[in-house]
Amino acid sequence: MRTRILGFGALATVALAAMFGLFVVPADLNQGDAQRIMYVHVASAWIAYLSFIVTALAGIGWLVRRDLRFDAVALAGAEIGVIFTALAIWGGMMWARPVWGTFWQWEDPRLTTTALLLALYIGYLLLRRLSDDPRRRATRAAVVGLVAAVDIPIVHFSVIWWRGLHQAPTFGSPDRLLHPAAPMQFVAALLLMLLAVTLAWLYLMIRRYQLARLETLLEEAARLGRLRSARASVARTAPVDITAAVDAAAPQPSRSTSSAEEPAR
Amino acid sequence: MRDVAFVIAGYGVILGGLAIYALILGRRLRNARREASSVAEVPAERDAEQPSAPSPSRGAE
Amino acid sequence: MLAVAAVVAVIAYFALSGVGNALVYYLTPSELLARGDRAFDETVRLGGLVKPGSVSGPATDLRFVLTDETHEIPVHSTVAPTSSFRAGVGAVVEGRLGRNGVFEATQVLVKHDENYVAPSPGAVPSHIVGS
Repeated sequence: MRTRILGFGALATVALAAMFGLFVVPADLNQGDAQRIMYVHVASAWIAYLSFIVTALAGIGWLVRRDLRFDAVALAGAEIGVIFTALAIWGGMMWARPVWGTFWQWEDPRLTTTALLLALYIGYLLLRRLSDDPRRRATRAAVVGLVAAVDIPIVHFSVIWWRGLHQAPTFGSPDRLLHPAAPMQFVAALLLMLLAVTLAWLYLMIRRYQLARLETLLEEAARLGRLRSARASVARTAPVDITAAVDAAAPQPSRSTSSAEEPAR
Repeated sequence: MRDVAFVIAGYGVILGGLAIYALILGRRLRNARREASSVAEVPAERDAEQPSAPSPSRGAE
Repeated sequence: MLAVAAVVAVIAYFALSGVGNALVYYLTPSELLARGDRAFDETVRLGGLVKPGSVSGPATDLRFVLTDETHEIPVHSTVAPTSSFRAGVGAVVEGRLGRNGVFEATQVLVKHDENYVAPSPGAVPSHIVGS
């Protein structure tokens, strides 16, 4: 119920922020209306970073605590981060065409490293599909999630380290936050959009986490079901000691999802 | 004014994309909950058969 | 673990090749001229500031000068840049330096900066300030 309220709150705030950025705040003098895309583009990019940082931290959480709930958070962060990265790239393209004169430049460091970020986390999600053992999958995902996170600071600092087409961040350093190179109304529009997108992100993260937990439960239930039917068919035709052997291979029939690792089938 | 098309495409796809993702997520969650509630009947079943089949064999280990 | 190794390899590849390419996303006028005779041979990107007062001609037969404050190169382009192109902004042009010293651009990209200005009675677009 509280998540539902959060969802509606996020929706209302996003609508408000979009109205503010589109109709209330004036357009940039040099770039014209296209600059309005900045608000959704930058907010999406920041939330994409946030998602992937959450994935990396949750990966560490899994490796340390061995609790599959951390892995569910990691999955939620990666999937939602991929969505936000793709949307940030789209917004960037829609902004770049009218202002720069091109949708995309492969050799621009910011653009290339962002494309790499998207590819890395799509790879992360594909890798998760390769294994049907939740614990092994969580470990592999945690390692890949940590390695892929190396690209996050590279993306962020690419505009400072290397020469490219993409401009430097308007609010990239503490100094620039205090003395922004933008009128206060532009800053307000960006911060409002950031708040709105963050609320939407929280809502999506909670929902995706809930889904991930249910998926784990169903996976576990399916495995128990397979084992039980195997046991039943063996019990019908074979002596008791084979039944015991199958039993020994089965995880404890507790409701906990953190059952002992199953021998490879 | 030509730029307005890009602004609409930018906002439309980003905010629309988020909305579509939220809807898809809601549907996946509902389906999973339905499936989970049908699976939830199984533990009851398992409890019922526990005294007969698995428990004695487990005790024999 | 093989998958992990593959991912690491891909990152390393991108990182190394990316750095190499990124460093030469564009050359400054000084760097291009420093290439001497080789400057004429290849298609390159040239970046700099559009020198105030140097812009002339219609958008499809545009002439302007790119400068890095030390050296400057005249540019000729037949493809129209975006409306954000104006004197004083950063621009990246792709093309070839002709033997006559004029850079023939096949693409003109405007490199705007991270500063934003709201319209107000006192504010003027940077192209008026620049030229």
